[in-house]
Amino acid sequence: MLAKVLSAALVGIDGVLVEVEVDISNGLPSFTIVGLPDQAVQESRERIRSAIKNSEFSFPTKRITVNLAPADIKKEGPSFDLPIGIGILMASEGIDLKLKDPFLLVGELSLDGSIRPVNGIISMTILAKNSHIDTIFVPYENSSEAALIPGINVYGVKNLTELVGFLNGEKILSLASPARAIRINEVKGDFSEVKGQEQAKRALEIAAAGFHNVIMIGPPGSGKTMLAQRLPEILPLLTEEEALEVTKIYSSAGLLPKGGGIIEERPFRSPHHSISLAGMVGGTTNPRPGEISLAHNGVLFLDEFTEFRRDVLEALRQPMEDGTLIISRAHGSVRFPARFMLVASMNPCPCGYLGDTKKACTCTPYQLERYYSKISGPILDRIDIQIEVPRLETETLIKGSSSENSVSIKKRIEAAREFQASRFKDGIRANGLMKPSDIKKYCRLKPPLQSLLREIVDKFKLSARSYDKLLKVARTIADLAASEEIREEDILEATQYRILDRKYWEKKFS
Amino acid sequence: MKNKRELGSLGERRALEYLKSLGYDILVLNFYSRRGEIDIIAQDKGVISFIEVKTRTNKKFGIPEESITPKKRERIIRTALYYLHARGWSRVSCRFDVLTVNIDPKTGDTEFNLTKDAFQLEGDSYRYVG
Repeated sequence: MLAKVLSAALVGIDGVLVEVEVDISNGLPSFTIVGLPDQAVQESRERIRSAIKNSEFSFPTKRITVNLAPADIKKEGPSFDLPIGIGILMASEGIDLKLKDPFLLVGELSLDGSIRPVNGIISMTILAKNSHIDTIFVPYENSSEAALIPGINVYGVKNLTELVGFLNGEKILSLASPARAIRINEVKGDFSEVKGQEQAKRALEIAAAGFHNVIMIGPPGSGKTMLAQRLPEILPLLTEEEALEVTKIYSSAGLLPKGGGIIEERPFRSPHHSISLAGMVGGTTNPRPGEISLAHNGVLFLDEFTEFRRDVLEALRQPMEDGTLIISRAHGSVRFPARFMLVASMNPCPCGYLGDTKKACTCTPYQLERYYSKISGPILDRIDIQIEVPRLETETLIKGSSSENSVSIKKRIEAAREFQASRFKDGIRANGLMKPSDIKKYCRLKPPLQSLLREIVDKFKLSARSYDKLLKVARTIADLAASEEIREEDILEATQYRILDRKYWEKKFS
Repeated sequence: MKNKRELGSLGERRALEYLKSLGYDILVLNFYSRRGEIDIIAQDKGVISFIEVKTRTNKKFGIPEESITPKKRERIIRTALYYLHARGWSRVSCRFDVLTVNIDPKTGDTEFNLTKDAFQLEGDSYRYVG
């Protein structure tokens, strides 16, 4: 007897429909799986055999051949256990199927017949919905995650017996309800805890309001890391669409906590500088999302920016422009979303005290040259806002200035985001994500400001990209002040965030 | 008991009676081929059963089931394939059983332990056209 069941494989972060065909015929008893299965899928034979026996069904003493079609995609992981098991029971007439509509099945079997959670459930549910399949059976622990997708019947199943009972029309399962929001970021503290550094705080506020990339340069202990770690507290929540994108990535990477949930806060990733290229952009033979994809719609914080491997930093260039990353491997290419806000921090020199008011720098010109050459021009050019985070004055350090808390900063940022959203009609999410054509459309300047800008471009020898970035930042500053027009002070403030690279990267060694 | 062969054939005689009492139709005894040997080939409710008989008088050397090594299993499978081929049977339902016979050397009492479907073919290492 032949039975066919639908399931899904995960390629990158997207689901691909897989048809599980089970043929049972007479002959020497054997159990073979074909269709590019990996080791975990091969091992599923033993799990399925035990699960079926321990669920009080009989495992057929026949020749069993399982085919996973299409046969050209690599199938990995244990999520085919359940469809293969159900397929065997259907082919050996252990199931008298009452459900007439097509359905999709995913799940790992445990030896006792219970069903364990698997990765990438959201992507598979989206796939089912797009393929016009009305019903999906998922592991019980994943069910609330799958139920985030509206317009499809999601059933969470705890064990094989329960599912067979339902398919036979003997048992009733209830539909799963959508997951609640979960937190992924650790709360590090409030902005008011950072003493002084008002200029840096202002710059971060602008960055958060417009989704701009930032680099902070300053001596050790000035508060760069503290400032960056408090960013999640002032970032606006994800929109519904963005939340689904982020949750999908985390689901396929297996990073959602047990029981699932929807991620509503912007991710904040701070990988250590020893990270490999594959860890940063995603990779290995079966591509998995890297840090830049895990930071999608959120912040990628690179502390000690100069310590990262050169190839790792250079690999950021293309995703920083496109917001996506395509990884090509021998058996096809995979697209990962990677629209992140880069926040980098570094010391001004290897010893850390270049330009410090209290302590002398002990670095040689050669050391400085080497240090700055670690950050290439193209990378620096892609960073919209450059700020200095200087040593704190003794007075501020001891007295501490009463400063704003995260909640009130966040309010201003949210207002600025709404102001942007009312302007953009074509799906642009923030100023930092505008394309050159959008800049022409949304950042029109009055003639006197145009000549001011011409002067600035000439004086600081800005590249075309720097010019665009300057306009974007100026737009955000105007948005924070709820101004329809870009004003002179907006351009001047934006300019001061654009010229630090001249100070450090050019002046030093000429 | 004098020697191993004698013990083995005694065990097989007892096994034969036992299987008949369970309703097995005995087809062949001690089927030899170049690839190996199968002690008993029988038919149980329409299923061809290849039975390996293990006889023991004590458990000093481990339980009888343990002595079916992967190599022994492979010989049985290859012989079974040869048997099916020789009879021209392709689409039949088959099974591998292991029957252990424990004979008490003093009293001559016999104890049987039949494991149905004791093992199966692993993967596709044996090409079988059927």
